[in-house]
Amino acid sequence: MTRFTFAVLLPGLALIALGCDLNKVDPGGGASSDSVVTVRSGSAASPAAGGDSAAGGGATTAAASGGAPGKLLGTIKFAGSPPVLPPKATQGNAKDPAVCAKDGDIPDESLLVGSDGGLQHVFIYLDKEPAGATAESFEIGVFDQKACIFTSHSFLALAGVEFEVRNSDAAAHNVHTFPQLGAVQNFGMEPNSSTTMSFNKAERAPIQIKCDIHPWMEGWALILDHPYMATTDENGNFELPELPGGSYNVRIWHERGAKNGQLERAKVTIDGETRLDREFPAGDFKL
Amino acid sequence: MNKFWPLFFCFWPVVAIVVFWISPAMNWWFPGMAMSPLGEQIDNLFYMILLVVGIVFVGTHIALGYVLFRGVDHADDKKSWFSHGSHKLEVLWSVAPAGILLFISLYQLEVWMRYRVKSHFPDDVQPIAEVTARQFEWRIRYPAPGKPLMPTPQPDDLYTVNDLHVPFGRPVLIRLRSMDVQHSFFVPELRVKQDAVPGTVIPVWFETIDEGDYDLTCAELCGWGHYKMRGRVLAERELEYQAYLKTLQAEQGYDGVQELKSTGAQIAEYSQGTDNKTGH
Amino acid sequence: MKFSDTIVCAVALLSIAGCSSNSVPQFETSQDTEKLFQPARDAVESELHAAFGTPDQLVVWPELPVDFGNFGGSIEKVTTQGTVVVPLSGQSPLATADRLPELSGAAVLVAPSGGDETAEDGQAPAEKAVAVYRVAHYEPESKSLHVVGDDGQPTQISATEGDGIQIIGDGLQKGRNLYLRHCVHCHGVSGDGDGPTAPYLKPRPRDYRKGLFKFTSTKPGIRASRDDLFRIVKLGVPGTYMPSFMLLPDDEVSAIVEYVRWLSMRGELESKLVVQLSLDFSSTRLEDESFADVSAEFDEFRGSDLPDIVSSAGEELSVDWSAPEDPENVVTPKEERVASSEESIARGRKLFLSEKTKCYSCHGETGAGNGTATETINDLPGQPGVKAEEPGLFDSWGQIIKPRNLQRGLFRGGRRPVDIYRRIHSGIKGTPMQAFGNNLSDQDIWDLVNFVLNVPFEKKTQASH
Repeated sequence: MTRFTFAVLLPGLALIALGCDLNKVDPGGGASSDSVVTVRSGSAASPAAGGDSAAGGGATTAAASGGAPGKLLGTIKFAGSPPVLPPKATQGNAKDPAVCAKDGDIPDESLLVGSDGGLQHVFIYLDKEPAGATAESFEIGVFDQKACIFTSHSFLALAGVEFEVRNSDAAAHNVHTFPQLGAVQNFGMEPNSSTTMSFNKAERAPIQIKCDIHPWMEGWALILDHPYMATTDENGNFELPELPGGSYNVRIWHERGAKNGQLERAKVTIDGETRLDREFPAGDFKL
Repeated sequence: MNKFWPLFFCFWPVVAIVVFWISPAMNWWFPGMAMSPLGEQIDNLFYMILLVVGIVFVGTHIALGYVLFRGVDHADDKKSWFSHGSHKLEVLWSVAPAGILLFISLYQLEVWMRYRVKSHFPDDVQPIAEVTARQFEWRIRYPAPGKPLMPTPQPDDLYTVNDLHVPFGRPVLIRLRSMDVQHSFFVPELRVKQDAVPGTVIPVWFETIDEGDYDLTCAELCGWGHYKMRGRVLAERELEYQAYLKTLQAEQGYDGVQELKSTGAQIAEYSQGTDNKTGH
Repeated sequence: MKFSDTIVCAVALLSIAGCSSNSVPQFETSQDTEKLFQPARDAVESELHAAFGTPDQLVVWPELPVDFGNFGGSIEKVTTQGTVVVPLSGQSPLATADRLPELSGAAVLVAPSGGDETAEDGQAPAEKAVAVYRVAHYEPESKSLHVVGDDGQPTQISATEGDGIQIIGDGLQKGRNLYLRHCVHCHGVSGDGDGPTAPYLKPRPRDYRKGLFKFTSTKPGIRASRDDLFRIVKLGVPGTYMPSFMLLPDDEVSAIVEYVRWLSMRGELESKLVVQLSLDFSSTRLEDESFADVSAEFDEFRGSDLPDIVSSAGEELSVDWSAPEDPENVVTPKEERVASSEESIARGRKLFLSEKTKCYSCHGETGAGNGTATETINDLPGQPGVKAEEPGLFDSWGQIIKPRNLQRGLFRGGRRPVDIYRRIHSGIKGTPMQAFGNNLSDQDIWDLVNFVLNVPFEKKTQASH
C-alpha cells in the first residue's frame, strides 16, 4: 500500500473509531461544563494588624519630626525652549467663528510656557489629607466657557461641593467629564447661561473635560477630598495652603507629562515655608 | 453459498421498501402534519411521486432479482447469452419515464402556480405584514390596526422582531424583503419556503389550518448567525390578533406618563402565544 | 511499514486531531491591568478571583446587589452521609421552583439556629460559624438535599434539626450557562466585547467593564436598570448586530441580565483597583527605580491601603447598582406627550436648528448624521496632542462614533416616544450625545421627539450641500 493510501485511510479509520471527537470543542462556549459556587470569605489581601488604614496612607504619616508648619510653594519650569504648538482651530476652520475665533485663532493651551520658562497649568497636590491638618476648604472658582475655551484650563474642585458653571458665549456648549472613579457628566448649556454642578468622587489624578460641539475645547480638573492642591500660574508659580510640619509625597502633574501626566512624585519635608522648584526637560513631556 | 449474493442484493431493496412504506406513519418523513391546505397538497405530491417511483423501484428490482437468481444456476462452462441490444426496449425505457415525468410536471403545475404566480393567489388575500430578513433576525412591520399595509413605512406602522402574528383560517400574505444578504423564509409546518432576495419584495401567502406556534427558520446560509435565526409564526384567532396589534400600538406610543405595565409584562403580553413552547 | 510511512500517518492523524487543548473559559485581565508591574497585577487578579472567581468556580459576594438565586429552608431531619431533609423555597426572583431538580454545585450555607448560647464569664456568646458545603443534588419529592464538601468530596454534614439552610448561587449558574451559550461569542467571557465573533462586527459589541450602557431609562450618572437590560436583550438593538432574543422565556432573560450585571461589576472593580494602583505601581516605574524598592513600597500599600480600597469599592458597587432600581432615578416625563401635529413638528425643527441646542452641528441640518462635528480630526480622548486617524467624535470605549442618521428611522435604543424623550433628556451615556434636560422644557422635548419621528417621512427636498 502506498504512503498516500495510509495517509488517507488511517485517519479515516481513526475518525470513525473515535466518532469524530478528537477535537473536542464544547458547543455553546463552555455552557455544558459544570460550574460550582462558593461564597466570598474576606479579602485576599490580608489586612495588616490593625485593619484600618494608617492615617495619611499614601502620604507618609505626619512624622512628629517637630518641623514647623508652613506653606509649600515653588516654581515649575520647562527646561529649554518649548516647541511652538499650532493653534487648535483657526478663524478659517473653527466652528462658530463669530463667537469662538472673534479675536484670532484659538491657541493650544496644553503647553503654555512663560518668558522665564515657567510652565502654566501644572497641578501640584497631596494624595491624602495629612493627619492633623487644619483643612480650611477653599472657594471653588467658576468654571466658565469663554471664547470657546474652558477657563480655567486647569481647574480645582472639592468632591461633593457644588460650584457654578457658566457659559459666557453666544454659542451653545456642553460639559462632558471623563472621570476615572466618579460618575460621568455630560450636559448641554445654552448661550449665556449658568448652572451649578459638583463632582461626586475624589480622583487620583486630574480628569479631562471636553465640549463635543467644539471638539478642540479641553480642560483638566482635579477633584480631591481636601484642599491641598494648587495649579501654577503663567509664571509657573504655585502655593499650597499651610501644612503641618513633616514629610509628604507631593505629585506634580501636567497634561502633557509623558508618564500618564505625572511628572514627579516628590518627597517634601515641610519646615516653615518650604520651596519646591523643578525644571523638567522636554523628554519628560509628550510633544 | 451461491445464492448468497442474489439474496444479499435482494434483501436491501426489501428493507428499503418496508422503511419507505412505514416512514410517513412513523413521522420519519415530514416535519409534522401539514398545517396549511396548500401544505397538504404539497404532501400529496410527495406521496404521488413516492408511489410512482416506488412502482418503478419494485419493478426494476424484481427484474434484477430474476436475473441474479437465473444466473446462479448457470453452469460455469456454458456460454453466456449475448444480446445485440433491443431497439424496442430502448424506446420503451425512454418513452415511459419521459411520459411519467411529463405527467408529474403537469400534475404539480396547479399547486406550483397557486404558490408562486400572483394571478393564482387566493382572491381576497391582503398583505398583513412586511417581513424583512436581516442578519440574524426577522424584522416585522405591521400597518396600524384598521389600515392597509403600504409599500413604504408609514409614521403609524408597528414594528416587532421575530414574532409574526397571523390570524388563522384565512389566507394571509406577507411581503418578504431582505436588508442585507439572501435569507429564506421557511416555516416547515406550513410548508412555506421562499428565499428573501435583497433588492426585491416577494409576496408570500399561506393559510394556517389551526391555531398554534410554528417555527420560522432561515433556510439560506447567511452568515455566522444563520443557525440562530429563529422566529415564530403565531397563528391565533382574529380577535386575539387584533388585540395584539392594539397592544403593540399602545406600547409603541408609550410616552412614559400614561400608566402602562412594566416592560416585562408588556413584552410578555404581546409576545405571548398559546404558551412559549419555543424556548431558545 | 517503513519509517517514512509512520511519519506520514502521524502527520495525518495529528492534522485531524488538531493542536488546541480542551479550552476552558477564563476571565481575562484588562489591558490597563497588564500595564501594572507584576506584583500589583497579581494583587488585582487575586482580589478579582476572591470576589468573583472564574467562570467555572463562581464566587458569590453577598454584598453585591445581584440576584444570586437564593433558596432557603429549615432542616427537618438529618439523615446519614451528608443528606438532610429540608423543604426548600425560593427567596429571590431567580430562585424558582422548577430549578430545584437542577440544583448542582451551588453553595450551601448551614446557619445554626439559636441553640445554646450560654454566655461564658459574662462575655457575648461565641458565634457559631456558618458551615459551607456544595449541592450534589436535590430531590423535590422527598425533599432530600445531598451535599458534598467545598472541595467536591463527600463529607459529613454537621447540622441539627431546626438549623437554617441557604442555597445560594443557582441563579448565577443559570445565567452563566445561558450567557456562555448565547452571548459569549460576541461579548467575550469577561464581558469585554471581544469574543471570537467581535472582530467581524461594527459597531463592536458592548464592553460591560465600564459599567456603562448606552440606552437606559435612568438619569445621568445612574447605571442601567434591570428593566433596561431586559429590553435590550428581548428587543435587540436595531441597526447593530445585537439580535433580539424575543423567543427566550422571561426567566432566562432575567438570569442573563443578572449575569451581565455581575460581569459589569467585576469589570468596574478591576478598573477601580487599577486606577488606584496605576499612578504609583505601573511597570514604567521600573525604568527609573529598582524592583526591590517598588516592591517594598507596594507591600506596604497592599497591607495598609488595599483592603480599604476593596471594601469601599464593594460599597460603591452596592450603591451604584441598587440606585437604578429606585423609581426616583428613572426619567419620567412630567407632561404628557404633545400630539404630533404640523405645528409641533415645526417647533421641533426650529429647536433642532437653533443655537440653543445645536443639534445640527452633529446630526446635520437634514438629520443625516453628517454635521460639521464629524468632519474634524480631533485629539484622541485623554491624550492631548495625539491626533486620531480619521475625523469624527469618540465614544467612551475609544471607538469612532457617528451621530445617528435620523432619516433612516432606525432607533437603537427603542422607537417609542418615551425612549426618544429619554435620549434627549439625559443624553446617551458613554457618547457625545449630551443631556438637554436642564435647558429644555418637557414641551420642547416633545416637540423635538415629534420632529425626530417625522424626519424619515419628510419629502426629500434638494439637499443643502
